Amino acid sequence: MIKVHTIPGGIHPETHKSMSNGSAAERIPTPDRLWIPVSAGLKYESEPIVNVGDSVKRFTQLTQPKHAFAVASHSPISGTVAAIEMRSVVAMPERQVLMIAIDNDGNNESERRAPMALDELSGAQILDRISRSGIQGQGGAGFSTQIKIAASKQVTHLIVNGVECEPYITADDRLMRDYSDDIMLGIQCIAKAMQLTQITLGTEDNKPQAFEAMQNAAAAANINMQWGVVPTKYPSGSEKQLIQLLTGQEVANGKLPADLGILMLNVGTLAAIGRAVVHDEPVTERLVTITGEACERPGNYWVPLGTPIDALQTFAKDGAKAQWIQGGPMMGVRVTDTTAPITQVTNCLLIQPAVKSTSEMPCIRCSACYEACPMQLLPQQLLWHAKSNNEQKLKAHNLFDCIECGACDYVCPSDIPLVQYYRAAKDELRAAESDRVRSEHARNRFEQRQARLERIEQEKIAKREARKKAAEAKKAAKQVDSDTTTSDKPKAGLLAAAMAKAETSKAPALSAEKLTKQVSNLEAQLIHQQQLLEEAGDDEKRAKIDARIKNTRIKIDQAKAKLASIDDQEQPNA
Amino acid sequence: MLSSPFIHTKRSTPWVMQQVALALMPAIVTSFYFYGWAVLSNIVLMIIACLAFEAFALTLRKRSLVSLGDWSAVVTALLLAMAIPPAANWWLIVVGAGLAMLLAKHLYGGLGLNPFNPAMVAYVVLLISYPVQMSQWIDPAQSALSLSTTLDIALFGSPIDQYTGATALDAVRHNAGLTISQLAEQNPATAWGAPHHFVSLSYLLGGLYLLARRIIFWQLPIALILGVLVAGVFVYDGSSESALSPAMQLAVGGTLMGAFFIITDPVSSPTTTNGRLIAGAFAGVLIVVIRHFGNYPDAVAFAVLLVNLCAPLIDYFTLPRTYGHSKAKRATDE
Ligand code: SF4
Ligand code: SF4
Repeated sequence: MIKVHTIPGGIHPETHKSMSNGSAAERIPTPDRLWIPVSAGLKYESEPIVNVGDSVKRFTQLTQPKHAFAVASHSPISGTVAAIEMRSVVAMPERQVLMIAIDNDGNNESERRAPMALDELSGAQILDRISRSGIQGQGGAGFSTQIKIAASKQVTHLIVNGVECEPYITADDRLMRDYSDDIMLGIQCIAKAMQLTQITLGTEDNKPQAFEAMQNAAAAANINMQWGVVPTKYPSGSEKQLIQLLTGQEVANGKLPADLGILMLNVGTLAAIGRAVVHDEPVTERLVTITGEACERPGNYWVPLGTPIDALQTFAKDGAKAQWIQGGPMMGVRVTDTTAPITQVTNCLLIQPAVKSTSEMPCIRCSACYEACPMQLLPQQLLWHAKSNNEQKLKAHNLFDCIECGACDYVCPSDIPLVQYYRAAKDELRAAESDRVRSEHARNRFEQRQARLERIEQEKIAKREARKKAAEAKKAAKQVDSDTTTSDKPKAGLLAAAMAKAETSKAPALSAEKLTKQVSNLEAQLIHQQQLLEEAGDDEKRAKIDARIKNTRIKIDQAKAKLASIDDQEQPNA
Repeated sequence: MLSSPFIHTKRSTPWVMQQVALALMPAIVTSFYFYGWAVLSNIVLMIIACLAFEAFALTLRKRSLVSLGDWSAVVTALLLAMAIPPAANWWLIVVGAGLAMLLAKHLYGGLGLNPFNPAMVAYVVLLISYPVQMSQWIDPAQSALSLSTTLDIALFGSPIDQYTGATALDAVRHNAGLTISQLAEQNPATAWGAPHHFVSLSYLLGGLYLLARRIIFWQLPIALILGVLVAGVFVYDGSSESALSPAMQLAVGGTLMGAFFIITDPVSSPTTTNGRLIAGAFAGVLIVVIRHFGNYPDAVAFAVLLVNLCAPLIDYFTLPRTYGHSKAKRATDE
């Protein structure tokens, strides 16, 4: 047992964990059709490598990464590729992504795997197997595990994150209790491949059974580990906070845990690594806590990736007008479209009775938020500057260090949606930044172009001069005097043309700015309308607002399309 | 709710305000014991007047009257009603309420935006404008005022029969040649056991409740009390030139009310932990300094306002160091 350090701030919301951690995980019946997002990481692109009509087996690779940070997807079932089309995902309600539909043929056939004992695998082979199996961080962030490992060359210390500090979620708890062998396999894989010298498990003191199971499994597997039990407090499981708790060190601003020699992996990720490496099984399912006050049979369930949330509707208590949340209540995302599929980041589906959103009261500067902030920010100052859009102050108060944990928001007596303000402010600052970069580029382009034109002009003049001299020499030779009319006219004309051209190349940048503004205005409008929709009582009103929302969406898309075309036009100028 | 977090504490701003009002109850009950209905007439009239002015301001500013229910006006009313002399004339109360709600609160944009504590602004302006009315404390040594006498005085301006002699702080200020212990024999207000000591004690009680409920943070009151005690030592030697003893400084002139209920008003105080320590200590020292060297013995209000004035500056210099940063940034840094 190692000495645990303290972290500032944090909150103690009711954990509601006993609702769902009472029994071992079960399997849900496999739905008839799964929808697999082509780009599993959403932000980074992959492309489909199957076609509609192809028959696939379990573990058949469906997509190929195009971006280094992208991961591959594999089919969780055997069946046929029924469609490849744009659909909604939970994480990005405002846009659709390409998905592959697999129709279940019920045969449950798998592709042949090549399991190998850990002893027979070299470090390079282990890493190769990890990179092929499409593993993303299972703790909720969903970053490519392969990349995280690749960026951790100098690492000596593996921290196993079994904290699971979000209320309601118990997937990691159950995983540690019932699948500790898989986790140990994963730990051994990483330890071997990366030649680690130190392994620490971090878990909260409200999971004694999980802790015991892990200790037993480590003893059985003969792994030498350190044990860190942290007091139950949110957000102790956040990467930076857990590092501080277990090592007393802070990840310096702008640095990574790897700079401290630390690699942190979630227990779910490690279990997935263990299965991927030793059993040669890519990730095709995950353990999901399905729970909440409006949930019929709260518990943990193995759910095939791609299962539409609709297929889980039986979990909602009937009659309850429920709100579905993907992830925990502190950092989860509201499910706006229940056709969206389960992905590797779906650690929890929280089914809560729909509540009316409360109205925001003025900030009374009570500092409760500051007391709760684990990053030692001044949330009330951030709010103030976010409201007045003070870019410089926001940066000075380290807005970008906010981990959006929601602790401040949770304690605020004035019900101010602080995190919402911070997200919007961050988006705005990022947009402003990219605007600046873009106009910088435009200016550079303009200046380079000027320089080029100038050079051409100079060369022309030089040539002309040379020609003139040659002609004069000839003339002199012939001894015939004649008018040599050199005028500035062509030069002036050229300059004017250059200026005019420069003007036109500047023009799109101007309207791009306008369009960006338009988009952000429209998006604000959209949020407002969604709020209205939330509060609207009768169906008639809802329908009306719905129509308006659709309208706004179309407008946003149009504006974005225009923006994109301008961007494209700008490129050739460069 | 549109986005995370989807759960929140049950604490709300009205609830916080109600707790502060609740914590004032011991002081109200004790005062009632000594001054009778005179205290309640202040409170009732002040609450009515404050709510009326708040409603008026909200209407003028085209805001929803819902925020009348946030209890912030009630807390201000209670504090101001307890600070001014009991059985104050209705017009004094109306003027005070108007100053607090309009001048000190809504002129700055309403709840949360006022740089100064509204009750203290109103108190100070009243004190300067109506020094006579603001120093006429009925004598608690006489039996507490009955309801009818109180109404006569507060509503119809009948004169009060018995005023107290000089308050403890006045007695010290106008002390001509007596040592502090002689003074205590001559004027019971400067001796232990005077009625206002019990009122002070009740503020302490209410303050402890707020601390236990974690509605106020300990740094402000504790630093203020320490500030008074430490500064008090420097001006106390028991001679005829001396101030009251440091302990007595705490027990008189609303020091404890200031420590637990006024300086702790979150809106106008610094927000950082170190800032609160500095502000509290500063206020404590100022209270003693103003009492000893200033023109007005009612130092708490002035000290609080001065500290309010410095709050942004104190915040600026006590920004916490964010996780992962080597030093605290200043808001002017890049
Ligand atoms: S918790 Fe809310 S009301 Fe209190 S200071 Fe923070 S933002 Fe303001
Ligand atoms: S959401 Fe940001 S500001 Fe709020 S407590 Fe978490 S880190 Fe601090």
